[in-house]
Amino acid sequence: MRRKLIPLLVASLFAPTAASAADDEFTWSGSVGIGVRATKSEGGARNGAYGTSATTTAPFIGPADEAKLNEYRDVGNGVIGNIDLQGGNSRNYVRFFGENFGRDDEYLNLRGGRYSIFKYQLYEDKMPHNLSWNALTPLTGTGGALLTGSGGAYPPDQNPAAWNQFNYGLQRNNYGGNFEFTNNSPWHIRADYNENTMQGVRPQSGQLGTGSGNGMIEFGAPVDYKTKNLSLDGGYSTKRGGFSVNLLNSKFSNSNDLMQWTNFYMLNGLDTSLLPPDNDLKKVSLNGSLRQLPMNSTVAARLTYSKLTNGFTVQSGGLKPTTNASPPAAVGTLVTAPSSAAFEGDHETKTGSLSLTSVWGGGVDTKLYWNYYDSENKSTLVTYALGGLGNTAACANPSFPATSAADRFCVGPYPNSLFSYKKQDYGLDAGWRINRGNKVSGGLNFLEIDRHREDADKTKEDKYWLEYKNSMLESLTGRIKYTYLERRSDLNPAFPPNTNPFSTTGILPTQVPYYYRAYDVSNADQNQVKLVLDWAPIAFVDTGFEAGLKTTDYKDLYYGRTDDLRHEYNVTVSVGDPRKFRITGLANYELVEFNQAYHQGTGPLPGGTQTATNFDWGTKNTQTNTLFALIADWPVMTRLALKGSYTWTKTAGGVDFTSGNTAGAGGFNGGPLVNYVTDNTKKQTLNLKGDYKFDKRWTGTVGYVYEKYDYADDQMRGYQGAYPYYQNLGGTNNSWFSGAFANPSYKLDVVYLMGTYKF
Amino acid sequence: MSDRSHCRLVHGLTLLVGALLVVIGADILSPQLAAAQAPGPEVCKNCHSDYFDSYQASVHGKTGHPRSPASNGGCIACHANGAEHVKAGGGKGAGGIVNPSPRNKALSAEQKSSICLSCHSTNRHLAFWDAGQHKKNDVTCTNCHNAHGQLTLDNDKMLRVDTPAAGPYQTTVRQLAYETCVTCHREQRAQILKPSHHPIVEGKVQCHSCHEPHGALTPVMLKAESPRDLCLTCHADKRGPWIWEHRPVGENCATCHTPHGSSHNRLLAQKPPALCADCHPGGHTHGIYDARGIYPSTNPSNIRFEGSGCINCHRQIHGSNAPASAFGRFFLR
Repeated sequence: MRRKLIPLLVASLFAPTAASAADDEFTWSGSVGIGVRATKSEGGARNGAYGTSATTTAPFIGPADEAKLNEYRDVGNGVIGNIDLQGGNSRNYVRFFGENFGRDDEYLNLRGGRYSIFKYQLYEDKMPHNLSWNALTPLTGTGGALLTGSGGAYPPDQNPAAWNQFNYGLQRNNYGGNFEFTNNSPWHIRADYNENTMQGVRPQSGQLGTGSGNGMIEFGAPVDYKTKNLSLDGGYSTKRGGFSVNLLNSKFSNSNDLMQWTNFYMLNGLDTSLLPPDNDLKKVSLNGSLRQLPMNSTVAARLTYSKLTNGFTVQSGGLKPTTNASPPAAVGTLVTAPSSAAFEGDHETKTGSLSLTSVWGGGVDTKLYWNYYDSENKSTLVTYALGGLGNTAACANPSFPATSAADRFCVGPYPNSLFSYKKQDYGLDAGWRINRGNKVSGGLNFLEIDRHREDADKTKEDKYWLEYKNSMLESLTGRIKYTYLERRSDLNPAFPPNTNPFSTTGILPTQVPYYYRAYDVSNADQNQVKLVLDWAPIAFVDTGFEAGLKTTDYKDLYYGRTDDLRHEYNVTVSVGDPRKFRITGLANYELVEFNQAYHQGTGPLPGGTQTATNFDWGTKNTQTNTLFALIADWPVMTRLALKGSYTWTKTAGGVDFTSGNTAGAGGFNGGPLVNYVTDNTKKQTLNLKGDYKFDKRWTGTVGYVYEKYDYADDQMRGYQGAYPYYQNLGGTNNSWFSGAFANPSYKLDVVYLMGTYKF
Repeated sequence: MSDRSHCRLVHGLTLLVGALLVVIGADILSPQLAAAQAPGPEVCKNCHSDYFDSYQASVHGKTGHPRSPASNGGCIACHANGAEHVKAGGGKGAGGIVNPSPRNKALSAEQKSSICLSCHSTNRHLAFWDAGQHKKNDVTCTNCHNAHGQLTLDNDKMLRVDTPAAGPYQTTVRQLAYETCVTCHREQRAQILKPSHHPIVEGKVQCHSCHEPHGALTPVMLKAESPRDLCLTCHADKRGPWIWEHRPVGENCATCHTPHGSSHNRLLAQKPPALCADCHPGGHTHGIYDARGIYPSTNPSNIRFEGSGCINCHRQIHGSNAPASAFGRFFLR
């Protein structure tokens, strides 16, 4: 090496000059890839049925569903390609990347600029979101805002063989650009514009009658959304600190305010479902930071103000029967007069955040912080008066719910209230670096929520955590963290959700809801431990291990979620030199369990005598998730590189029931619910790829993919059971399902060839 | 000896003597020269050609950028004066050469980050770096970014991927940002591969679509002030405002949804009716469970355990503008 010193030193004197001469020339480099893909796919068949489940069921094999394999990608046959371009000189640059041209998942990204002066970007990103294909409906006109039925006698269209086929799926396209100007100064100004469109059909459904005993129907709602976002940002930034101001306007528009569909129960009358309303969001944000303060401190702050508005005419009528007879003899439009003809939506949100980080002597660092969030609902408060069809003069007032009779159907009155809330959290994190390889950290966090909610208007969460990290050994790093969280709410059991708002006494201790606690506000104690180890015992061997445990005990309740438990383990092992051969193994296991307690009927109090109609019941819900993967990279020779991966994932869920009800006359068929399976899936992917470099310019790629996804779920009847496209559960309890999500299983084989030219 | 041979001998001797003089002289002068002048990138290139090429291709190697390393000494801008390193004949750490690689434990996280921050601290994305979780947990710039990486395949931030990602077949050839994040965030690596997931592995949503990895004042470094504000950035159809509000929806989307991945449709944390039953004891005459089984048992089926559960009827669960006569209060229309 020593003998090279002189020529090296001599050469270095000339190097900068030579380099700067070359920089001024604008040069291009990149690659163009073009190829073909052949795909063979098979979707999950839906073994269906229709009829009265209690007595007669006729089998029906529904069409296969390939949506899941195309959920967020376009794997169709045909030409595939990509372009990757980089151009530039010492001052300017431009980069373009594009792939999947002409496909549903096309991606284009153009960036460029002059270093330190300005930069710009233009992009397009298309994304399919396919939900369920070849669903079936007895209604005609899916994709539009009017769906009509055949008009037959109730219950009509029982045989799905005569139904119409359609796809639940959305195409989401994102277009946009930005420009930023800095002119080599601490100042910047930036403009961003983005337009997101979403079109297609999404799942919709509707209860058919006046109660849960009258069935429901699934159908498709039209989606034609557009969201336009414009953002302006300006600020000043130096090493000492800076500030910025951001203005955002986001407008959402929906081409369809509502849709109408034939309601079989309501004598084939046209029912109405309202679709998401247009809205307008305006937001201003101020950010600031100041560094290099005493004790190596940095102060950072952020303030925001936003206003979300919309406006529309308030609907007053709904399709209802003229009496409480079932099925109805006559229907009409029942009007419940709103307190305001127009709704002006107005949500105002104000937030503030402050943070002070410091580095003290002796290896101590701290962070003191405070966050405030205030969401105020200033929208029009709309309430509804009592309304009736038939003999409206006889509707009871006030009554909740209104009492219908043989000569009338009544609804309402309905009060309402606006939901506003405030949150404030503050805390202190501190760390002590004992020496280079040992650090102890800890923290306190206090969260307070005040909300307009009758069952829990205040919640406090106190969190404490402690962590130890060791990195003394060259090849080993580990850390362990413990967190304790305590949540306490001001609970008012006398006013749980769905209570009679006209009640002067609220829910009584003799009533079951008095003992129920909503899980998002119920008092709870949570303990969490997490361990992380990273170990590289020898060269070219890396291992990582992670384990976590979280337990939550929901307190002071009889009914609701009582406790939950979560285990998670992650392992990564990587062996080999990536320049020669490397194989990596990944594994993950997660177990989630939670228990729920309920009561059926009006009484008795918890733990009372169990009968056929009044009894305690509970569920133990279990979900597991397992992942195993092997990835291999093998640069066989200078010209040939092989890559392969195999991924296996499995989810398994189940609900185990316990029930105290006794069989007998007057009871609901007695006996516990059969324990059932939820969302059991298994997915395997084998991905093989070879790249061969013919020369410096040309590379050939060949690849093969095999993917298989299996799904089973008792709520969806799985693919081994019988899916109830149409079912009668007795009397007027008729439902029409579309088959959506019943069996998203699939199998996929892909072969692709690509030639890439580099320049 | 011929004239030609004599001539060659004289020239050769002259060159030899001259070279010896230069070598001896340079040897005497070299400590002074080395101390006075750090080697430029062309010197480093002789041993580190790959790194030199990547440096030159990146913005760091552009002399047209007034603050780039190329305009401020080249490699020494990040790696310190390498004269002693060259004199020592190279080698790991030799001559005090600075290597901010994530694997180098000789430097603390603070020291590694300070190299990058000496230029990049004025970057507006780093305004809240000091307050962020990454800095607090000793994550350095080089844990995620590779200054000597390739700018190709849309990887203009030169993100580093140490552990290859595994998952289903993807139609994109881009290097995706999530592959960098899951090197450390292994829990999320498993979550995003669950059956219901945001299109992260497909490259349509990135981790930095929701999180600000360079620091934020929010918990888990979200890009918005609350999970709900963040979700409504993309899911604008759920913003409302609504006449009838579902209050947990108005407060926190994470009450019902788990954004990284779920076994259940629509990223739900649990499957209805279990999800809804966590808060609602059941306002129906028969409650949620009335001892009826699930089809195809011998009993008539309980529709609340079929398909989408409660959502079969309560479809407008995020909020409703339907009138009372259409039971908008119960999110039925």
